[in-house]
Amino acid sequence: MSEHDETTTQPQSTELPRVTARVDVFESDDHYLVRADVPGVAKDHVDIRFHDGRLSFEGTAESELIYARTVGFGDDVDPDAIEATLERGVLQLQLGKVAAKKPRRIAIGA
Amino acid sequence: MLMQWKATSNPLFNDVRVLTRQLDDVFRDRRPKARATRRDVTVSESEEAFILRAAFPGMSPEDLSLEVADGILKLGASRSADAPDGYRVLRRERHPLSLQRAFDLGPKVDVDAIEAAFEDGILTITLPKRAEQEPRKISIRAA
Repeated sequence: MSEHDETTTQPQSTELPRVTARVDVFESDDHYLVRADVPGVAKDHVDIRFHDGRLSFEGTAESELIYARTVGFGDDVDPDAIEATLERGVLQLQLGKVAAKKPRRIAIGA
Repeated sequence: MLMQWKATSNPLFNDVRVLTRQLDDVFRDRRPKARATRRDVTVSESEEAFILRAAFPGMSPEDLSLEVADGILKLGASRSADAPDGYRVLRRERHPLSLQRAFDLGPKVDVDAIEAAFEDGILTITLPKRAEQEPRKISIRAA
């Protein structure tokens, strides 16, 4: 979002080199967790989107280069349960799973 | 990857160029070839100083150590990348990092004035130049 604001004032920013951000992806019963190295990226220079099970982000590092990555998930991510934090150059995204998709323990009746 | 460097014959650059190559070597080995364009380390120069910047995402200042003695700059860093409790690994691209390196600064850097800052996962080391010594002209007397 701020990415686009900046583009309007600084047309040359679209020419920035793009770099594939390295990511770790973890999974628990309730969540996915994505951690990405984005050194030099400040909070207001990150654009995160989720569409059709695909999580995409772009972060501009000090007006010099863009870290970008798309990570695909199954259909078990709840698009309304995605939280992002950015600390010391690491973007962390926690994606909640849709409740119905969680493994469900089924009791066997007597 | 040192995009800010221009070819030059200025001998002032030589020391930092060596420094940069050493730093480069540190990171090159730890980086997948496909992402070799990533600029983990850059060196730039102003009138007053050389500026060395290195990416240490996820580290805190306590994970980094920097000391200067006898014209040698020592840089240490370590980062663990443990899976969070309760999570299993689906994909692992970020590496645990641990390094200890020393760099010869050469005679051009004023080691007493070196400063370092850490922001957004980037370490910036400012290496101020010593005041230039004017070449002394020696007149030759006629005998």
